[in-house]
Formats: sequence, C-alpha cells, structure tokens
Amino acid sequence: METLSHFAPLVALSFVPLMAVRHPTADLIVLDGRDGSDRVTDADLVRRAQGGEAWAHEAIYRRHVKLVAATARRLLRNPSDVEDVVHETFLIAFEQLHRLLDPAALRGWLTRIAVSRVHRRFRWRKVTSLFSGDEPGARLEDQASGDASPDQRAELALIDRALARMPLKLRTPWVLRFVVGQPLDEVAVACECSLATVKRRLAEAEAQVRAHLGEDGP
Amino acid sequence: MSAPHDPTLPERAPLDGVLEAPIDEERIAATWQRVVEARAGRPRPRRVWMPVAALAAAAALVVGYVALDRDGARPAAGPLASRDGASLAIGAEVASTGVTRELSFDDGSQVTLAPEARLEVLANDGAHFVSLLDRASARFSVRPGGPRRWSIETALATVEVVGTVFTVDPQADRLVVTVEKGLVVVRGERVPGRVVSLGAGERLEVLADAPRAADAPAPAPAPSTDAVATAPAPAPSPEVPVAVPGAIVPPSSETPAAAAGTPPRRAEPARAPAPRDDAARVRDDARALAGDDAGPAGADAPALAPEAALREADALRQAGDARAAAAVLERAIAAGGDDAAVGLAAFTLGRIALDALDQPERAARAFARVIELGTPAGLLEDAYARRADALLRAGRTADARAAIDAYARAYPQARRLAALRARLPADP
Repeated sequence: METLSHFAPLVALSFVPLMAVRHPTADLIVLDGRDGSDRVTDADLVRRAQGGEAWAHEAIYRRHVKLVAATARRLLRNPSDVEDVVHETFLIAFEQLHRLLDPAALRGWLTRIAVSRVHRRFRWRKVTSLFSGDEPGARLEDQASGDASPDQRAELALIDRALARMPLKLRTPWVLRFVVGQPLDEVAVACECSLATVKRRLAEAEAQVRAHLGEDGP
Repeated sequence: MSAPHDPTLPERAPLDGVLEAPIDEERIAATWQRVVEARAGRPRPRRVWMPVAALAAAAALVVGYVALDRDGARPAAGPLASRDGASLAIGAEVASTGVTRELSFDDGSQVTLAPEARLEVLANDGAHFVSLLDRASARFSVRPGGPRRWSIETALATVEVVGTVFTVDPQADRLVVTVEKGLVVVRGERVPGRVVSLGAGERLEVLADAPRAADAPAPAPAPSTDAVATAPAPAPSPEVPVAVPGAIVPPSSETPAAAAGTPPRRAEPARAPAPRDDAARVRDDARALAGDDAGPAGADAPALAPEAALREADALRQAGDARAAAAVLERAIAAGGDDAAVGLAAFTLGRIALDALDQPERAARAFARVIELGTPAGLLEDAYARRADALLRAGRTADARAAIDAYARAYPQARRLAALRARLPADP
C-alpha cells in the first residue's frame, strides 16, 4: 500500500532497538531466559532502565523478584509482608536507579533495599509487641518444601530457634548467606558493612548455630 | 561456598533448596502490577507505620461510596464477576468439556469457550483481568471502554484488549488471533517485532517454530513482500491486507497492524496533556474534527454512540467502504460520550484517514482528539507519532515540528522520534 510506505521506516525503527541492539562485546542480546540464553547483563538492563526504557524495568523485576522475595520471606516471620517488601523494594529501586553508580552491583543493591525494608518492619514490630506480645508468624520449618525429609525439617527447626535468639546484625548475614545463598560480597553490600565485618559476623553467627545444634541435636 | 580457602569462614550448603519457593508466579504478576500502578502515580505502597491513616482513609472511602451511591453515581469497579456463578478468583479455572460454553460477565463482556478450552484466572481486580487460555480456542467480546484491561496469556503470545471482539485459538504448533471488531495488541517473543496490533478483519498466526523476535533479523527499512503472504482472508477489506494461515505478519510489512507502530512494550499510563505550545494546536485540531473534511456518506445521518459506531465502521470497512466508515466515526466523535470509546473511535478514524483515504489533515485532527482525551492509554504514544506523521504528510511543517516536540516531551525515549525529525526540512 503506497500510503503505508511513508510510515515504514518509522515502524522499522520502532521495532529494531528492543531486540537488535548489539552487546558491546557479544552478539545479539537475547532476553528470553527460559532456554538459558539470557545474555543481557544487569549492567545492560540498568543502563537501559536509566535511559527510560520501560521494558528494562520489567526485565529487572522478573530477573530479581525471586531473590528479593527470598530475602524478605526468609528474614521475616510474617509471610503476608513479603509482597509488600517486594513491592516497596522495586518501587524504591526504580525511583532511585539513577543513583546506582555501579550498574553491575544491582543484585546486592536490591538486596540491601529489601533488607532495609525488612528491618523497618522489625523495628515496627518491636513497638507493637509492647502491646500485643511476641510477633506471630511462620517458622523456618514451616517454609520447608514438600520434598524436605523429616531430618531436614528437624534441622530447620533447630536452626530456627538459634536464629530467633540472634541479634539482627548476626541473623541477617547468616540468613542471606546460608539460607538464601547470596555470595559474600553481596551479603556485605546488603548489610552495609565491609567484607571483613561480614565474615566476622558470619563466623560468630555460625558458632551460635552450631552450639545450638550441638545442644539440641540428636 | 565462594571462599573455601578461607579457614575462618563457616561452610554450609544453602538451605533454600529444602524450602518452598518464596513467592509464586501469581503473586509475582500481581506485585508487578502494583509496582506499575504505583509508578504511574496511583496509591503509594502500604507503609507499616500508617495503619491509622489507612483506617481513616477506608472510613472516608466508605462515606464517599455511600454518598456517591445515594446520588446514583457508579462506584469504583471491583473484581470482574461471572453472571453464571463461575468463580473468577485468582487461580480459578473455567473449562468447557465436550460442548461450547458461554460465559457472561458483570461488565457486559462475554467469552465463548470452544469444547475442551480452559481459561485460568491469573489476575482479577478493578483495573485488570488476566487469564491463561489453553487446550482450545475462545471468542472474547470485551465491552469497549470497560473499567478493566483484559489480557489473555497463551503459550506463544499475550493478547491485550482495548475493547473488541476477537478469537484466540492456541493450537499445538501455532496461535491464531482473529479480530472481528475493535483493536487488540499481540505481544510475544515469537511475534515479529515482539508486538503487533490488529484491527477489525485482521488475523495473525504465530508459529511455535518461528524464530523469536530476538533471533530474527532486524526488520527491513522498507516494506517488502518476500516474507508475507497476502492472499485474501475471509471478508477482507480492500484497504486492509490480512495475514493468512501459515504466515506471520512482520511489523514492517504493508499492514495497518504494522503501520500502527504500537509501543514496543506494555502499554504505558496516560501521559500529561501536550505542553502549552502544541496544546492549543491539538485542541484546535481536535475541535475541528467534525468540520468540513467529513466524508460525504451519510452526512445527515444521526450519530451513533461510539461503541455502535465502531461496530458499524468495522462492518463498512470490511465491506470496502472506508469513506463511509470514517464518516460514521466522525459523527460519533463529534457527538461525544465515554472518553475511552471516543478515543478509540478517534484513533480508528485516524488510521482509516491516514492509511486508507490518504487524508492526512483529517487524520491529524483525529489523532489530536486522542491526545486531548488521553485515552486509550495504550495507543497514546502511537497517536502522538501518527499525528506528527500525518502533519508531515500534509505539508504542515511548522505544526509537524511542534507535534514532534510535543511527542518528545511526552515520550523522551520514543524510537520513532529520530525518523520523524529526519523528515523535517532543514531550518533555513
């Protein structure tokens, strides 16, 4: 159609950049991670989101929502708060994305925001528990998957009790490292402390967990 | 462990493997919607320190609701409900076994499930109704201008609805989307360019073994016919080339769907009105919409409501009378009505005027009306781009320049800006 030819270059241009932009060091960017071919780096996504590309925000969310949710779920005792923490974390992250100087550090930065939101809730509960007693919520063993063996459930229960006695500054890095499975450098970023400090806190927390397991274990 | 060489570090396998998933897909989708809505200026996230304020707000809402209801005003929409009692709670499945099943909804929309089709509800609130369709086809009749945006997920693509009648047929090796009335947007990795909009009488087939948009070569800069089958489909309009079975319509091909140039990602919320310098021109163009350029067909006929006009225009267009279709829409727009339906009618008029009638002035006025109304939000960026395109084609260089500037202010990252600016004559 003759009249459409006027618009064709616009159409072509409008559809090209999303998927045909070349990675600086590799071939075509592929966004579909379902087949393991996800080759867009966090830094790429952050830069594109900082540039205002709305799809990059959603890609960041889809990529990291489970990490943020795991951080909230494993640290919090109240599962109903998890969605709120996830919501707030990404809302804050997207509002402050321009402040992220190292786009490659996105994971740790998101975890840090999530941890801060969780800690806010702990502070609030401290206030409300003055009126309502101890905080309710799910224990770690309540979060066990259907495949978990009885031994694993028993261990989770013991660990849970050990964690409940720990101060937050020890509990948070231990949960991020040994429950969520975060690398040490990201745990340090999330806890806003140095790598040396996080190692020290992990060692201290682990000693308490082991002591508890030794006391109460079979 | 990342540092096994450090003897001071404790060793322990992460426990996440024996714990249940921290969040399920349904909540992931719902939470993303909350993020999108909050970023669009809707309610801020719930703060743990604001329970009293929340209670006060809830009380105010109740009072407001009662007051509005007493005055006969329509209350805010809640989740979509079925008129036949079928559950539409998130996670609910509605299936038809052996026979066709009709579903009617409280917003006036209808869905006809083919035998063995299954519809699973993924999200359902006052603003969205998202469902997953598999096993067989379903025909959707979504009330235009309704309070919710409908999305139908399938294995191969997502179909988003502006207000329309269409059929989604997920087959083993392909997805077939056929639009009877209105407009739908189809998105997916295997949809050429990742997104295609379809108008009345158009049909799209997405093949399961088609290369994903990511793997496909970039669309050619000019229309070509090598990858497009153009044989007629049932009841085609002379102005509306239709994709045929077995073919995928690339966005750069000669189809109105391609020309629609819909935004490459999920529809964005309505933007602020056009800035001052262009706003007056938008208003003038929009006000002139029912002026002297109206088509001759049925000039004295009474105006239909926008929804009825869209149906009538679709029928006329499919019968090959684009001029009469434009006239019907123009009268409906001038008569006014629900903003969303008027906006959709104006956008459709703009497409017809620009693509079928070669009347860029008329198209510019129609797209100006869409911009002025700010709805449908999912077509707003396209309306800005098409208005600028129409003004360029009409030779109104100064107005086109202002329209492009307005487009840039509303959508600074829009990919069509560079191509539009390239068509402007150089400053003297």
